Amino acid sequence: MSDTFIDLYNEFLGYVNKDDEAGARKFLVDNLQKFPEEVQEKLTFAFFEEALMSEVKGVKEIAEMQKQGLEAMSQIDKAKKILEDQAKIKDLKAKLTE
Amino acid sequence: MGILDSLRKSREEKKEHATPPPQGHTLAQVLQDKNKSHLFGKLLERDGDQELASRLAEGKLEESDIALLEEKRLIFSEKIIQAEKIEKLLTKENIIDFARNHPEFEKIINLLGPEKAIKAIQGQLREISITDESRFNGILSAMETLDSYKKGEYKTVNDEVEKICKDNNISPQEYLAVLAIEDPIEKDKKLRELASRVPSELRKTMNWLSRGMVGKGGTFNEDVLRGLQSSENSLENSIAQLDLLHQDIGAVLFYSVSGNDNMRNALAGELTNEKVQEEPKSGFKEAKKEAFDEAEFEEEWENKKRYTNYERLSDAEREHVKQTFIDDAHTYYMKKNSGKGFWHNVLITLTETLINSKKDKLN
Repeated sequence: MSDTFIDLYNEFLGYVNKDDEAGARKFLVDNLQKFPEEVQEKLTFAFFEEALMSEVKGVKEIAEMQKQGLEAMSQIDKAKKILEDQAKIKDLKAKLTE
Repeated sequence: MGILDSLRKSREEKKEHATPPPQGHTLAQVLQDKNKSHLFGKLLERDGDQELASRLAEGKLEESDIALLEEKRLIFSEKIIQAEKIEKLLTKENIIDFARNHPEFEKIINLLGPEKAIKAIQGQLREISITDESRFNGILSAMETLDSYKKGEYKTVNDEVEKICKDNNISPQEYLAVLAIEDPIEKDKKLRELASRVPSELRKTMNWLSRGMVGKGGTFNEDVLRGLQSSENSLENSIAQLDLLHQDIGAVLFYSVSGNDNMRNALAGELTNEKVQEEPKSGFKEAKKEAFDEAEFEEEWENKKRYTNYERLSDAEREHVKQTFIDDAHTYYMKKNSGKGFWHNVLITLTETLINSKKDKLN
């Protein structure tokens, strides 16, 4: 693991320690593509899941991510696919066994 | 457009088509809507089509599924349309009328208030349209009968009485004021006074002929009097019929509410003022408390080394201890943050990567 991730994590932690939620969000979106690919996928997924749950939060960040180009779009598509599948299965399969 | 196309189009427009379906009623739209997809799942469950539901959820439809899905979609679409129809008829004014004509249903309305009762009942209608069809059909049938009566016979009587009033220069308020008189002799006297009014069209002509001298105490009109008296009977009968229909609906609603678990629970929820689920907090500050603790990690590693006599182990054994420690650390942070919302999910992701990065630095 490169030190880049540790640096990014420490910078992120700086916002956390200052209780700066908006700053932490912006930091994650602005630096998304500097994180390892696996982390990018999971962070995008977290934003998507949040957007799905609250319908308010997360949407802005997803829009920001979309502006970052094809790689970010690919992460978003992956997260979207996973969530859509999960939602369908949750609605149709789990509800059937209620 | 050519004559042939125009003819074909005009004929097509006269036919009833199922294509395209109403907005929101394609299967794709149903599945995208969380509430509708839940209900569609209930419909498939009710009809014993769980396997079809699973194939649909997993995107592995078979050839024969298309026709079956269309059949289910049509049933579902019809139920939604019927439920929406009832929902529109469940107004505050209507629900009060139902309650006033059915003492048991009145108790429910008095406990909750009309608005909350409407909210609870409307909230369950679509569900019971699938899961408790006989009760739903009972409500639907009673509501349709009422709607049809109000648009048919009730309206006809209303229009006829209004016409008699208008033709005889009587305002509806004047007529209703006379009908409200309880003393029959006094009422008859006032009705005769109304019947002596000169019809509005005739008044214009007579005014012109007599230069405004007609209309102050014209002669009594036997036909008009009979019309006004018969109108009173028609109005009374219509109101009695309407009350009966309101009573029927009060009864079906009461039995639906008292006999259906979901309905009862919805009303209980409104009764206890169950609040709409608040948007979950982002959990930023809470997540901060669960963030990776470097000092704790180091301390635990030292403990692990001590317990395992790490210094005396072979390289392979040391690798195993390191991996076990890393795995335990993952489990520890996963348990602390799992299922707690966005910021905890972010922390799980970052901490997971961070812990992995620590493995090579353990010594």
